[in-house]
Amino acid sequence: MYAVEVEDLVKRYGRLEAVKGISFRFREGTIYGLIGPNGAGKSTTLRILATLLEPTSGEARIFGYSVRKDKHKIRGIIGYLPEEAGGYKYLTGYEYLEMNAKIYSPDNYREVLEYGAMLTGLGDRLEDRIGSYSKGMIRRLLLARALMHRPRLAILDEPTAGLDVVHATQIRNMIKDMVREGITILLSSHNMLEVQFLCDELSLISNGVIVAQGRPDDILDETDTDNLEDAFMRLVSHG
Amino acid sequence: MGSLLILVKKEIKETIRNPRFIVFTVVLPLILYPVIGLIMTQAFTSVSEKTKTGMVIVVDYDRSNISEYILNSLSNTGMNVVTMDREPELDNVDDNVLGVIIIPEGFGERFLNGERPIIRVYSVINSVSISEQGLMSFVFGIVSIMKDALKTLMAQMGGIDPALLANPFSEERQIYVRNWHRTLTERDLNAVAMQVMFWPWIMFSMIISVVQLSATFLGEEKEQKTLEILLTFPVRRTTILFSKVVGSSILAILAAIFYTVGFLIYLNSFSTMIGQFGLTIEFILDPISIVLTGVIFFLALLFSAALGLTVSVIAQDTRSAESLATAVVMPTMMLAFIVMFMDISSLPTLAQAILYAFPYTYLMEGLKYVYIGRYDFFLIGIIDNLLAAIVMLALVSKIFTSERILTMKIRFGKRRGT
Repeated sequence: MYAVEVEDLVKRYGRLEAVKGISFRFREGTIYGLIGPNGAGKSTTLRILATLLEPTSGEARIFGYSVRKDKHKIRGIIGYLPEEAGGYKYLTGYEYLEMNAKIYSPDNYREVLEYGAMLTGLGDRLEDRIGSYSKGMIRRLLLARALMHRPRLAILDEPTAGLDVVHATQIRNMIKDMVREGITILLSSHNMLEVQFLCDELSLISNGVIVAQGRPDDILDETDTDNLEDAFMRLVSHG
Repeated sequence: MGSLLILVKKEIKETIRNPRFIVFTVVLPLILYPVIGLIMTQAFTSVSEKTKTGMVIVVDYDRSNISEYILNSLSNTGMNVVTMDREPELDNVDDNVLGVIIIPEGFGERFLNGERPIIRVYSVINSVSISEQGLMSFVFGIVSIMKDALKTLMAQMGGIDPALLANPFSEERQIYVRNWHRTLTERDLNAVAMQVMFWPWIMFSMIISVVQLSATFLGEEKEQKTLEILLTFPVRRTTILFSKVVGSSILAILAAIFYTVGFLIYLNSFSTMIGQFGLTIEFILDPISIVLTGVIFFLALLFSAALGLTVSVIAQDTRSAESLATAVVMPTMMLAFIVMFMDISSLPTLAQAILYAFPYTYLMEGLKYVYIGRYDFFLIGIIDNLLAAIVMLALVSKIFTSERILTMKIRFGKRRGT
């Protein structure tokens, strides 16, 4: 079964066309990447898949559920990490995870909560208010929140954006661990080397259009390049 | 000097693009205060007009030379004084009657015997407001003119007790309130007026705090970038919306309790002060009034919370939300002034219709109607507030359940090119 199927997806904000008829799909248990520069349409696509935005035209399905008709069902099986996200500064990290655990898994929230707390790796700092956390700590907390209830699909928008190399590596390892637990991951990044390291398959997006898609190695072969950054530049300049 | 100029330009740009500056430095002084001034001027002009066109009825049961002398002195002032043989029913007097003065039989005789006679004075006002109390002062001022006339007469007569010369007669002052169909002593009226005239301010304080509080509820989510995650929770959007409405209402009730306690402390200290002058303040709410006022209060709270949330949906951050909320609530401040200074029932029908369509009017005017047990006023108020709350909740719910909650924005600054 396909975890995600996107067909001719278009999104317009007034006269601005952010996504111009993209299509891609991937199976359960993989890490799929949407990569491209800022403003390429990655976040808009992920926000449509997370049921935050309505597609202007086209269709997108998550495990067979339509983003147009089955929003509530989709929200129950995904975990979403927005690109720019924060926490409630007057709640402690533990209280924040507890609220999420009770909403997603009311029957076994204690177990989910403990798992989430473990995923953050924040230890005793979870007892502190989120307002006192560093950017890296908040990102780990939010990533744990998105994954703690073991969603069927985790949608992660720029999961390592703005983080130093230590925190970014921790988060990449966390994502790889999750896939081993059976969670399917869809992530976006403008860090093409990161995607090359993490993803099984990907789509390269530029200006709302997919310019290439497939396995990273296949794209490198097709473009006769050593890394995705060079591949992207070659594809865009030829386009 | 060049660096100073650059930094000064930065300061000015940064400040004038701040929505707070626009609201508190431009909107408030240029719109609100002139409108409030206009309301006050209108109120006092209306009082002044009424004193020129209105009439005072004098019932002279005494028919002595002394009472006739007083009546002549009143006529000489150009005042519209009408004499009657017997006391009119205050319920039935014309709208332009401002007061009734009753000179009892034996007034002149007692005066000539060196005793201090007593007259009765009724001030007839439409309702309890600052402007109507101005009319009351006008009528009681007539008594002073009468006393001055007698003093002149006494000076001509000579050999008068100096104490009597200082105050030739006493008066029993009463106030008839047309809308209430009640006669009150001056002391009672002052006690009631203290409550009904301060009430709009308490309500305004409550309303502005609820609207601002609920406006920041979503503004905070936007500013802390927690809104997108919240909206992907597997719960209905209306549940999220109502959690905010209920949350802000609970906090608003708490705020209202603090306001009320603070106000009671204030009133208590005030009543201690005026107690020295023999006046008291007693609270006038009975159990039915408390329930009805409570229902209107709750519905107005709900409307305010929904209004605040609507503001927060379209504002881009907490500061914009607070400023926009203040701007939206401004008319309520004007309403508070209108209720304090004017008698709404004396306004043109269209103005009354507009004011009574506004849900907060019932909350602010309510206390005046409690006093006379006009519960129909409360029932209309409950319906009006309920409809307003439903419409506002439906509006915010429509925005909340669509993507517009993420894409709608009000910018206070200049739109930049993309």
